[in-house]
Amino acid sequence: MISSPTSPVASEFTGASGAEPAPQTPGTLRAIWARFRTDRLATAALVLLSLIVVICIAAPLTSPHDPLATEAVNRLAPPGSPGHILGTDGEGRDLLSRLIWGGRVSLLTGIAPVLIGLVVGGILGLVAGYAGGITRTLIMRCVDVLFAFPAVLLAIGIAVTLGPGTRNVIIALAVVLVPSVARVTESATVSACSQEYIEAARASGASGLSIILIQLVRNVASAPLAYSFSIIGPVIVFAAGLNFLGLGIQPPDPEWGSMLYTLHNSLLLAPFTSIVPGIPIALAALLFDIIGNAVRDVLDPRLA
Amino acid sequence: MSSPNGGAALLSVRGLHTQVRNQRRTTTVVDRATFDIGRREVLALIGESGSGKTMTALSILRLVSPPISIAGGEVWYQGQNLVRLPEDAMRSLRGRQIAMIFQNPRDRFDPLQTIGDQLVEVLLHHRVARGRREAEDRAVDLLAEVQLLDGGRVMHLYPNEVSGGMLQRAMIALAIAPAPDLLIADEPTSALDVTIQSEILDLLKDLEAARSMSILFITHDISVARQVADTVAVMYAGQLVEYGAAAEVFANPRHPYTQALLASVPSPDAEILHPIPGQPPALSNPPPGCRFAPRCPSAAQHGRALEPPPVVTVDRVSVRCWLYDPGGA
Amino acid sequence: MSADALVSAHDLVKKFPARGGRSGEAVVAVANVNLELVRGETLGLVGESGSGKSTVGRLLLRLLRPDAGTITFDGHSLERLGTRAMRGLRPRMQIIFQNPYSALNPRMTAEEIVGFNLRPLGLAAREHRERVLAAIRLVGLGRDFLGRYPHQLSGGQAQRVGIARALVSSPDFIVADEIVSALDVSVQAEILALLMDLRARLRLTTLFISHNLSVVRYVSDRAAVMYKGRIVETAPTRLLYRSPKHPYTRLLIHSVPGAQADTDVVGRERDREELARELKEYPADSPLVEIEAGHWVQSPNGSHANPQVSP
Repeated sequence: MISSPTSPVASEFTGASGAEPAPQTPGTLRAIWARFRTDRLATAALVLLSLIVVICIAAPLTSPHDPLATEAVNRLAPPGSPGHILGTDGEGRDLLSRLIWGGRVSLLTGIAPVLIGLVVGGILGLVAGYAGGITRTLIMRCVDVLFAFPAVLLAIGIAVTLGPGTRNVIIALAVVLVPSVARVTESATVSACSQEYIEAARASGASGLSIILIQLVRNVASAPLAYSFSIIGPVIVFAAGLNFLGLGIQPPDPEWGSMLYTLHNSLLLAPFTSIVPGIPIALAALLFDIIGNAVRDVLDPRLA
Repeated sequence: MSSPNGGAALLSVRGLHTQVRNQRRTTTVVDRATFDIGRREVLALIGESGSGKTMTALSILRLVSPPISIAGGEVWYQGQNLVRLPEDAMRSLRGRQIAMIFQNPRDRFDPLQTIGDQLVEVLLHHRVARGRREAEDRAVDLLAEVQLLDGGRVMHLYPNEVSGGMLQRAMIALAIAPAPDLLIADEPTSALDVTIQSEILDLLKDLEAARSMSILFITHDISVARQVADTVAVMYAGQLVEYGAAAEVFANPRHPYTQALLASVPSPDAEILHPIPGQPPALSNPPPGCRFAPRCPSAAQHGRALEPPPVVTVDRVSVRCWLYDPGGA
Repeated sequence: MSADALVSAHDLVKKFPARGGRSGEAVVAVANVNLELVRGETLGLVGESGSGKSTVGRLLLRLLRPDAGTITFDGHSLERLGTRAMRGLRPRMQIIFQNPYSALNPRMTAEEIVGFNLRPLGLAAREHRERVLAAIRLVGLGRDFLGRYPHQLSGGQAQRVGIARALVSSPDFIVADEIVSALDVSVQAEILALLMDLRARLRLTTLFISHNLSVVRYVSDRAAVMYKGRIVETAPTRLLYRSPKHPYTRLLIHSVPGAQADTDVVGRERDREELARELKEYPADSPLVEIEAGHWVQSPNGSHANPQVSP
């Protein structure tokens, strides 16, 4: 009276038929790859961004001049001057070289806080969402305290307290990001935990840690990942702002934001030159945003 | 398939053909369905998930949109072919002359408005009542008709304040407010407790009689169909395989799928359950010929499984099966 | 309590805070429930929504903590057991859920889903893989299903994976919570047949929860009917079906679609009203009385003369 083992014919509607092999993954990576194949704008953005990143990383090779070398006779040379494609700054230093070297710092201070925020915020959100009860209340209320501060003031406050330097800018920004990531993750975790498969996991006798790592993370990761991608652009701008205020990198080391500051005095004297550092900031933010949108659409279409 | 009742039909479906078109292929989800619904008749359309029963109902009301489209066939209602009717004529017909209720009433009701307000809105929209006062009185009457007797109180409740069974009755009230000729009910009791289900099924039969209303009752549960149906149409893999008067089909099922279905469901008399082996075919790639043949215990007898079986009428029941081919199996 | 009872519960009580969190008011989901399962038997627990049957199932597995009462599994007292100690017992007591799609992790393959329940046993990699494959085969699926995701499975196949998951750790006790209710009626038969074959082969003790009396009739040796958090009647299944006493049981039997095919609508409505009237006469907390061997019913006038503990 047992029905025969089911034939390989799959779902009954317009989905997979028996003839095709069933697709292997709802594969996040595969889906992202597929999306980039069709979305030309996102692919172009990815290529361009990769180019910028590679150029900046390979600064010792790609930079035409020493970014710290001054040339007193050639200050504020306009773009197109011989030997200086983008011109020079107030001290006669080649702008292009400073942009390339400075890019390393700017990109780092854009991406690193997001990564740290993702990891720390993600862990907090997961633990809070899964454990529930007092643990959740405690974690989320602490997170809320941070959240209550306006981001800019909080970042500035932390950076000032910790002192100058790139590392402290990264820390300050990471602290600002953690609450948002934690909230997004906690909300996704709570909703995943209300599903029966988590109840089934609890009923299996597995430890809480293995449930979180094996069952929850893969269901919950898309929300904070999508959020993180979308925030890299603004964080680069934010970091540039902090550097602009003199909180991070110290002169004469180049960085896009601090370069904008040092040049802003020369706005009337050499208008093109003084806005040059602003271009890569805006461009990087834009490119990350485009890529982030595409990734977000794939990971969590509901957020769109 | 010819109508079992013979009388003038209220709704006449002829060769209804609905397809889903995507980049790679076209899938037929309703394959030339033909049946009639008479006046004051409950037709139960029985089938598993994916058999095409809901698509049939949606096609009748032209509630399908690309990539799903009606590729052929006619639906005759009051001398007009609904498949070709202009959209604005269709819109005035939907809800007023042909109404539809669904499985989950909470999807139909606005959670932010009281039940009474929503009833009044429907009554005013279809011009069944003029003015709010009259609409409210009619609404209370309607609620009483669906056995929500303290209508005055229910009018002021929000959907989340009433039980699933009560809300389902309210949804029926909404649907019958403009006095439609035909009510399409898509699995209206599948989500309800069995005692409430029994009440709702009897309520629908009451309404059929009291309002001379016809009902197209869609369900996967053949036992439920037994309680309400005057006529039965069984669908399998997008095709109608058996169609006839309920009493006849249940007493004497002819198509092997109908027989297998009846043998596989719990019922007070049957002692053992016989599962149907195998799975329904994927509609994207149906087998040539008889779609049930891979699972049919009688397919070997006639040996013609690879050809599409004819539709034959036996004792006023239409069957799509080689076993009944008068040309000799 | 019988000596060879594998699972038993006494005076079980479970309350939930009222919706909206109004202080003081609590919903009593389960009140003074007593039941017992002997090794190898299948007890059907029947009731509609709000009856507390699913809560009872979860209490027996200690997925919820009772507010009062005791739960015993193979001699172990569960109600006060700590989480860590409970974890050690869990592989022996498993659950199969109603909705196959929400009960399976959408981002895990069938192999991972079933394998996860085997982890607490800490087997070596090869034995682990073999047992997962054996469980998949046991439920009638082939090796090619190991790599499939839930959305690539039909309802029946997904439910089979759920069953494989529950059985992979070779449990003694299974709670089947409405396992066919979310499936098409035509698929229900194959799952029920599978369950009946497996429990015979594996000597499982099963609590079969369902709102459908007809289905319970096929799979259970004994049945208990729950209404508003209490057991109102319990008997060997055939006996319950043949001579039900409690008006709620009779109402359930009466409501089976197609059961009253000979009565017309008016007659059915009259029967229902009559049963509803009778039901009102039973005090909610009326104790169960044994009216014949193995057949316990709530007493109609709530006589507290000799409160019995139901088996």
